[in-house]
Amino acid sequence: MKRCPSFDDLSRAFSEGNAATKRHVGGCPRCAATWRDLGAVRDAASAPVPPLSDAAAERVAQALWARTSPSAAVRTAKPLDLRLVGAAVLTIVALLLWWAPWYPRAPQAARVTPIADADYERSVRYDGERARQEIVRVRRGHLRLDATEGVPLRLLTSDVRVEGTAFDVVVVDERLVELTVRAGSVALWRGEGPPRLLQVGERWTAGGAANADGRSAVTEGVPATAEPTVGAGAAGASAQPRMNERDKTPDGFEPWSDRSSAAPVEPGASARWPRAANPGEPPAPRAPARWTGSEPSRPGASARRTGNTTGPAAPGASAGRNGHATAPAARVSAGRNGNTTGPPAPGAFAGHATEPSAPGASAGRNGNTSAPSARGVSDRTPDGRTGTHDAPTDAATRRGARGAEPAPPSPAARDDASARAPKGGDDPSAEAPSAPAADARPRSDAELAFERGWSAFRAQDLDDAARAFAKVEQIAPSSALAEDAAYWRAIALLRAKREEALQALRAFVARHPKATRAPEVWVLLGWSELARSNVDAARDAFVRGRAEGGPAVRAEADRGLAAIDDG
Amino acid sequence: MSAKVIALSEATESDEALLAACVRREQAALQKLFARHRDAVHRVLARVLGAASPHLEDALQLTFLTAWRRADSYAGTATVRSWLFGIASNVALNYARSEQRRLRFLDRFAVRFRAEPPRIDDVVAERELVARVLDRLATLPADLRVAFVLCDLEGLSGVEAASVVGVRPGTMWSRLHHARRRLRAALEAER
Repeated sequence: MKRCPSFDDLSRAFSEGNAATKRHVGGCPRCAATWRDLGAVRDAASAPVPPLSDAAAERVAQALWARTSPSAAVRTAKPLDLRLVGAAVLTIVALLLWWAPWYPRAPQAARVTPIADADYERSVRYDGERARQEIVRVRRGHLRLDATEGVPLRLLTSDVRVEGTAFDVVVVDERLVELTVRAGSVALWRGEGPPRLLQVGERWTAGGAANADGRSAVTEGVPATAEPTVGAGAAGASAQPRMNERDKTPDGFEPWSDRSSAAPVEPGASARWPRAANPGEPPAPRAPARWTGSEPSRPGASARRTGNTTGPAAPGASAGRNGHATAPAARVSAGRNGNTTGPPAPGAFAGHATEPSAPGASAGRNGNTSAPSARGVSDRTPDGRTGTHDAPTDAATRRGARGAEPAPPSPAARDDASARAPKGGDDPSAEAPSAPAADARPRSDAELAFERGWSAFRAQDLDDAARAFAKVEQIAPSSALAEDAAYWRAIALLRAKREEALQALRAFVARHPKATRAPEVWVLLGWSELARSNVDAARDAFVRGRAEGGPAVRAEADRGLAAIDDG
Repeated sequence: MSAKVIALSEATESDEALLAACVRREQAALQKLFARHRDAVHRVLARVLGAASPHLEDALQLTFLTAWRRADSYAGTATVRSWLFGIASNVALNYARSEQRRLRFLDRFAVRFRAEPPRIDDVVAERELVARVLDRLATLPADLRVAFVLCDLEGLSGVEAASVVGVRPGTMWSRLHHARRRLRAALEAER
């Protein structure tokens, strides 16, 4: 090796003993000196260090055994670092947030409850793991459908497409016959054109081909009576079996049509379903009805001049010139005397307004306010007696008093049919009150409460209904709704056989002595007092009702007085 | 008789077998390893940290504790003794860095404590050259010191030292050369 290696090379050779480098060092004094220095440094640094003393070794050993013993492993486990714990938690949360949308959830599915002889199939369209839409294809039967939150529910038949929240349908031969909205809203497509929008409580029924204007469907508010009237057209015959089928549903859903004299009709069309649809019920000698309102009235709707009540007026509806309450229901009574079309009022005064007027509705001087179904109130007298009243003689009254149903004086019936006719004269051909198809006015809390009350009343949830009506009185004590609410609260309590009913009746006549329903309420109060053996109070109430009421009310009051006299 | 059997058993039990027993958490194996290598490990620690370092015992304990906990990481590429030296070097480096930070902290606040005077027996025992080399060795950076101790004083090859310390061989060689150059400078200064 001619050239001297670098210090690093010498250093490495010093460690590894490179032979060539060693030879070079042997012949190169300079490199040999460096080599010696490396050795000297190593020798110097290799001086022995003080050995580990036994005591020190023992201390270290003891500490080591203590820290490595199995028990010490548990005892001396390092406490969790809070930062690590926090980081772990954050990581888990982040993972969950990332993972959650992809987590396969339980299949969202609407609740489809077959009520009567249903034939349907359902399918769920999925978007990844999530249900996107549920489709129920119905061939026949009566179904109750409740959509799952967030998953649109679509019902298909051969003729319509329905999307909504919660509704009942009746399908015959793959054709939708009837649809009732129980919650939310429902959009119904039939053929081309925009959908028909139905709100809670509204009902749609198929009209068939009998409608003169070619429309095949009408929309009806549920509170209104669903029973077709006499004078049904050709379509009525075909529709009849469907009604019967629906009437037989085992879920207890009894259409208001049982009590009704009105038929759902299209504009210009006659009622379709003959009265004989209800077994045991005499045909109603009604003239063909004329459709005057194509949509349920909405809050703020006002009655037309004829003012025939057609069911519960929508919130805000006001009586027309003749003072008849507007009703949301599309069904119209075509009675010659301008009888209302709602279900008979309690007490067999069914020829009169029987639907509860909707929030905001106020009866005119003829007082044709809506009334609830006769079932609601007049099934029996407060003292439990039944069927002892004198039914009015006109056809409408007979319908209301059909069968031997007991009936205290109808809360809604104040007069006989003729007396209830508007003074302006109800021309049977006159248009029934109609309301704007859609009123965008937002409903007040009182109106909403009234609707809730009415819905509960309709569903036989009488206590809930009473509470809702009481809420209306509480929210808007001075509004027109308060009177209706007070009345229906009393009726609900009476029907529920609550002790508070008596107080509610008393409160009604005290607060609304001039109300058109006051005479009825007096008579109801009389029966209630008599049931509690408050003979004097009962007599006073009957006398008061007789003095202020119409013939029917007077007749009922006379019955009450006679009962007192008979002991 | 039984003592003889035990002695034979201990003699035939290799370091690797003891380390495997440590993996199985047999404390007796650790005791044997400690008995075998405590002096060598202590020597390495004393040369890196200094014989007078107050951390010697802690470093020794931590070295074997780390060996106990990381016994399963022994790859067999070096002897167990070298592996222990590597652990000891890292432990010593950590102590050295901590000590360095402590000294920097004290310098910042001018609260430097006076170092303990060397013990008399040391002064007597060490030769002057040794003292100078050791003094210079103590002033070397810790990583250079570790390289010098492992390779020159403990006889590990550069590759093996690099393996146990966890650096590349070239790095280890470089450190070793730097350490030697600086220590040689101490000799030249004497001349």
